Amino acid sequence: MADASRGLLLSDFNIANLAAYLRNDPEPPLVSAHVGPFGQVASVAADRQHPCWQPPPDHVVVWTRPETTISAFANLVRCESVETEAALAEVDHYAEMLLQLGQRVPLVFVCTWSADPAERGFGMLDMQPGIGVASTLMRMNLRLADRLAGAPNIYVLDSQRWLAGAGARAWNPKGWYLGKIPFDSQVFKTAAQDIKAALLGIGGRARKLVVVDADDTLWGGVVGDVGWQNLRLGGHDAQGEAFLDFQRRLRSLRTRGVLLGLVSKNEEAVVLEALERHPEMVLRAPDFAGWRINWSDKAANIADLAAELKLGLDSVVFLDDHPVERARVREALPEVLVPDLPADKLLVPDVLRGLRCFDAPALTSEDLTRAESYISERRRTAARATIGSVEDWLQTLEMKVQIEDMCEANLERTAQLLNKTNQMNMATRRLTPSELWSWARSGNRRLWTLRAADRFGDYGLVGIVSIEIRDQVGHVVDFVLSCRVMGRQVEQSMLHLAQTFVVSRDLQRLEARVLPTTKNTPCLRFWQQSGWAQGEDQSFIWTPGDTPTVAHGIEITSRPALAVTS
Amino acid sequence: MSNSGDLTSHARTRILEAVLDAIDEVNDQLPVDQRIPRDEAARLAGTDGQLDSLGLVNLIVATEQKVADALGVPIVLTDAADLFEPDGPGASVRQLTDHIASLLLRSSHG
Repeated sequence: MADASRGLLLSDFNIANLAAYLRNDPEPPLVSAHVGPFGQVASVAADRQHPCWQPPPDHVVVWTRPETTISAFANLVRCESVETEAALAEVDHYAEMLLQLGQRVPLVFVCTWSADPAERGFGMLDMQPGIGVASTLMRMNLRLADRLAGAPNIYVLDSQRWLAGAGARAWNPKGWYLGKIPFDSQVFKTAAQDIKAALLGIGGRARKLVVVDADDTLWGGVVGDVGWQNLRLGGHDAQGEAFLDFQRRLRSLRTRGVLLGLVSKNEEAVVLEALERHPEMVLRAPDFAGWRINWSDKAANIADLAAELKLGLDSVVFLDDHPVERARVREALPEVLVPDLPADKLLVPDVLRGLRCFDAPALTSEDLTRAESYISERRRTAARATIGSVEDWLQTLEMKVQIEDMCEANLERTAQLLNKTNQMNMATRRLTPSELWSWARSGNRRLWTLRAADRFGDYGLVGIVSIEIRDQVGHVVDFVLSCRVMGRQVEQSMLHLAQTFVVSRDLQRLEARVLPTTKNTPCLRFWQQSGWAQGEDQSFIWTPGDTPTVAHGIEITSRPALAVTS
Repeated sequence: MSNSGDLTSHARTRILEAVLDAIDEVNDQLPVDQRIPRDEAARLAGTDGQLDSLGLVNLIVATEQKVADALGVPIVLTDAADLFEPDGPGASVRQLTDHIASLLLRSSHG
C-alpha cells in the first residue's frame, strides 16, 4: 500500500474492526490503518517516543468512551450528583491534549462521545441541565467541538450518526463483554466510510459537479409528451413532493459550492421552457452551470459539459432514473460516480442526502460563490464570440490581479486550491492547511496568493506562487493557477511577481522545475513558452537582466500587510 | 445428513445461509488472503482455522444476529465453552450449522 494514507487509531475500546474496514476498502483513498495500544490514549498521545508513532502517521483517529475519559460523567452514569462544570473542565483538559496532538500530526479526527441508547439515565429528567446524562453528554460534545474548532487540522466527527444508522443493534453488549467491542460492525463500517470521505475531501478530491437527467429525475413525467403544465412536481402529490425535495437538495448542494449540470435527451427549448415556467420549479436555468439537452449520447454530453466547465470526470456525479443510461455512463466514463437511484421515487431524495462525495474540509467564500462565477463565465464566453482576436478579448475583460501573502484568513482556500489544482500545478504538492502554514513560515520562503476579478465578476483566490531561497537562488516551489483563469495573462503576472521578488532581494537567479504528472501538461507547455531559459529535466531559469515577463492588460495590486513571513 | 435430528432440510439450509451471511460480514473485516471460503467444509477454529480471537468474537455476534433474523429465534452460542476448540461444535462451518440446528431443536422441544 505504497500510496496509502497511514492512519493511527487511538481508543479506549477495541477499535480493530474500524481499522479493518479502513484497511480493506479498495476504493480510494487507500488507508493503512494501525491500532495504538488499547486504553492508553492520553499517555500515547503525549509520548512521542512510543513505537506506534514510527513511521509517523498521516492521520490519527481518536475515539473514546465518555465514561472512561471523563470521570465526572462516569459518576453521573452511576446516578451520583455531578456539577456540569466539573465534567466540562475535564473536557477542556481532553481537548488540550488533542490540540497538542494536532500540532505534531498532519490530521486528527476526533469522534464525538456516544451513550448506550439503552441508558435511560434519569428518565424524564435526563434532558434537564445539571442532572441528566443525555443533557451532560450533549454539552460535553459541544464543548469539545468548540474547543477544537480553531485547529485547522482537527475534525470532529459525529459518532451518534453512525450509531443511528445501525439502528437498534448499534450498541453491541455481546461484543463488549466478549472482546471490548462496544459497537456493531455496521457502526464501524459507516465510520470508516465517513473517515475515508473526509480524507478524500481533504485531499481535494471531493466531487464538484452533479449532472442530472430531467424527465423522471428532476421532475415526474416526460416533458416532451405531457407538457410542462402536467409534470409531477410539488402539489398535493406524494411523488410531486419527492421531486420537489430532490430539487431542494440539489439547490442546497449548489449553495455549498457544488455545480449543477443538466444532461437530457430532449428538445432544449422544451426543457428550458419547463424550467422557466413551471410555478413550483425550484431549480431554474441560471442554477445550472451548463447543460446539454439534445438527442446525443449522454456519456458524450457529460464529458463535453465537464470539459466546458474545466473539470475532470473524477469531479462528476451523474444522477439518472434510467438504469440503462446509468450503465452506459458507468461503462463509458468510469471516473464518473453514478449512484443507483431506487425505482420508488419517494426514496430518491434520500440517496442524494446520503452521498459522501461532496465532503469538503472547509467552506470558503469561493465555494459559496462558485455557481455565480460559472454564470459570469458563460457571459464572458458570449462576449468572446463577438470580439475578434484573443488579445482584443483579453483587453475587454479589464482583468485585475491582487497579490497578498498567505494569512489565516485565506489559508483554507489556499490549501484547497493547492490540493485541488492539477492542470496548472508545477509541483502538485498536497498539503493540509497546517502543513502549508508551517512550510510557509520558514524564514527563507515566501508564499503569495493571487485573487483575480474582471468586469464580469470576481474569480476569488485563484493562484499561488511560492519561492524558497537557497544559496542566493530563488527556487519556485509552487506555481498553481485555477483553470478558470488560465490563458488570461494571470500566469504572466505570476512570473512577473517572482521576478520582481528576486530583483528586490538581489538574488542571482530564479529556478523552476515542472514535475510532470498525467494532468499538468498545460503547466509544462506554459513554462516552455514562458521565455525563460530551459535547462534539463523540465527546469527553467531566469536571471535578472533577462527580459522580464509582462502581463498584458492586467492591473496588478498587492496587499503586503498580510505577510506571514519576514 | 447431520446430527440435527428431525429438523427439516429446509430449516437447515436457512441456518447454513445465515452462517454464510455471517461469514460474509466477518470476511469484510479480513484481508483478502485470509478470508474464509463460503463453503460448508471451511475450518473456523483450531490450527488450520482462519480466525483469530477478534474474528471469532465477530463471528459469534454476526451468526447470532443472522440466525435470529432468518429464523426469528434467538440463539446463544457462547454457552458452549468449547465452541471453537479444535473438536468443538464451531470448528467448521458444517459443525457450526449443525450445532445451531441442535440448539434450535432443543429449544423447540422446550
